[in-house]
Amino acid sequence: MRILLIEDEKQLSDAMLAYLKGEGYDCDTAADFNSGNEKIHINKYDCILLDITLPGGSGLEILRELKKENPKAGVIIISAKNSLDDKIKGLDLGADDYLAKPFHLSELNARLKSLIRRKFFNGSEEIKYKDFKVNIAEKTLVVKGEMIMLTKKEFDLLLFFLANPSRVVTKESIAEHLWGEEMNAADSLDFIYSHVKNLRKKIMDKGGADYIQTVYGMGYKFAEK
Amino acid sequence: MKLLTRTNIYFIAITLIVFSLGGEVFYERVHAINKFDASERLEQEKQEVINYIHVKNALPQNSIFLGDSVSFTQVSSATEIENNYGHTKLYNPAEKEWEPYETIEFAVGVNSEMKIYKSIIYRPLLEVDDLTKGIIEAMLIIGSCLLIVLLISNFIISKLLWGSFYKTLGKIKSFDLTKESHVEFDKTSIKEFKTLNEVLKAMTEKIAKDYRNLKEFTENASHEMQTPLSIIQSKLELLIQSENLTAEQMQEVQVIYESAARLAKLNQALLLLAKIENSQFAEAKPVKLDEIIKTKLLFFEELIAHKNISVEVNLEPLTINIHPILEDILVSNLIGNAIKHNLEKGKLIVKLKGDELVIQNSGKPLTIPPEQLFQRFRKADPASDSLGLGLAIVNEICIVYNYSIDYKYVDNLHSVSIGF
Repeated sequence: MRILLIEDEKQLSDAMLAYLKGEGYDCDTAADFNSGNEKIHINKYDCILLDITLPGGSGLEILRELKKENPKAGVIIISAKNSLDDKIKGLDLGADDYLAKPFHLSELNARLKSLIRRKFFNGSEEIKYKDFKVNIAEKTLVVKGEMIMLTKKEFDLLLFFLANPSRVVTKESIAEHLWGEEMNAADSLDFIYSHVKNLRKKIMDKGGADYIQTVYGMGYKFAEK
Repeated sequence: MKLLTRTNIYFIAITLIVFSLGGEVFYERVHAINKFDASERLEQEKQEVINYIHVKNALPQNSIFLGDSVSFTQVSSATEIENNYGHTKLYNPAEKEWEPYETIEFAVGVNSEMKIYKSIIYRPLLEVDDLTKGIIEAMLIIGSCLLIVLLISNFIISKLLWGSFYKTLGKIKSFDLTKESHVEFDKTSIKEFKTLNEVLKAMTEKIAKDYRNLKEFTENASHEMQTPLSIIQSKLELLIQSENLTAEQMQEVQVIYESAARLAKLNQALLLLAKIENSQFAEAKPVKLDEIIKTKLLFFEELIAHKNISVEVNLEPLTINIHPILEDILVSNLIGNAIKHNLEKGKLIVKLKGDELVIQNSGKPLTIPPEQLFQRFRKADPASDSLGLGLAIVNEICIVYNYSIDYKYVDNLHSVSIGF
């Protein structure tokens, strides 16, 4: 997967780049309108992470160009301008998703993976992790040949873990992923805890391995021990 | 007190003072003139008496002389009588009262009798009582006529003169800072009111401008904070991936991360508030409220189940015109709040009837006055991690769309109702 990250804030761009590289993506960066615009014409990217407010021009203009040049590319708009106009305009121009700053890198990663699944695997991809098989379309988990019934939130939680394997996923990012911005991590903290516990129990009851590790008070890590 | 009433009171007071003083002066003057006139008449009559005696060489037969009464008393020597004015009171048997008289005393000699008489002429003065009565009557009539004229003209003049002032007052009274940026005053030819209008116009424009700037500042500041917050958050997220952190370091990072996340949420909420206030969610669409509520309850299903909250839902269909995002926030905040502040095994009642939405939940009684519930950063429990902005946002949305919002605590249930 070839990804272009167009973001003018260097520190943020660096952090995103580090996280995405860790996921094994081939990642380019551009820090302003001109270099971003140039890069989409030179290379064929699968996905573009696009900031709207850029030195030298609007990210929406790049989006317009990109859709002419390479309509298949997936686009996630990342904007500090949490303005509705940008979101609507961006989505109208063919962007696939919209993420408002500040965001969790794990959330960005999950959105990117989901976008790639939708764009390039028609959304019916089966995610495999060790002895886990997850069918996205049917929302099912099969462990060692046994089907495990999960609630919608448990399934979303599992998917979020699977999108960020071997990463520490904070409880804040989980709360936001599952309930959106309205819910504070503090309000749903023990709820996340019990949710994770349930998920863990359901999997272990069917003889699955426990991949969910608790990382101090910080969050969880989905990884082999 | 109204301006007109106040001026009328002043007018009445002034009229009373002027007329009582005037009455006093008037009385003194009339009294003095009366006396002076009497003295002059007495002098004349004295000459007439002297002339009469000189010509007739005898005392007048009639004790009434020229309408006034004259008395003669024989005296031995004229030296004891000088020309003397005086006054005295004589009893009037007809009216049964003492009446004032101005008198003149002089000596006359009757040559034929070779006698000297003391003559006193009595001229009645106007009675003080009558005088006072007359003057008070006159003053009262004149005074009340004047007062009536004054009050009527005051009423008319104040309508004419103060008309533009009252118009200005009305405009300022109805001026709404959140909706208008300036006030247009009617033209007036009175210099003072013209100045007043100009000053008020400049003032309201300045206030409106400052208000706008402040709102824009909040929004801009929140915008500007997003980038550094994003950097902090993502760098921390990278940092916690590091395998080399000790448990203590991880705990420190956790605190920083949580605070940054809280700051980010706070910033988002403030930005949202500023945007609602700045009317950036102007477009409204018809939205089926009952369906949205059902979806939201489903969305919070696990949270509700987790707290063992029993839910009672009674929804009649209702379509309202609102911006979809605000509608989502409105319902989310209300239901989220009712779950968040609910008790273990508590109750949640959602009713949509007619054009009123009532959301009730069990919970600890409020520790803050209910009227502060919808204010920013007011939290029932200051130690809670809640931002204290959820209901403030709900309130702001209600203001924008002119919905009524009300809070009650009945039967151990917190009840928030919104009238659409």
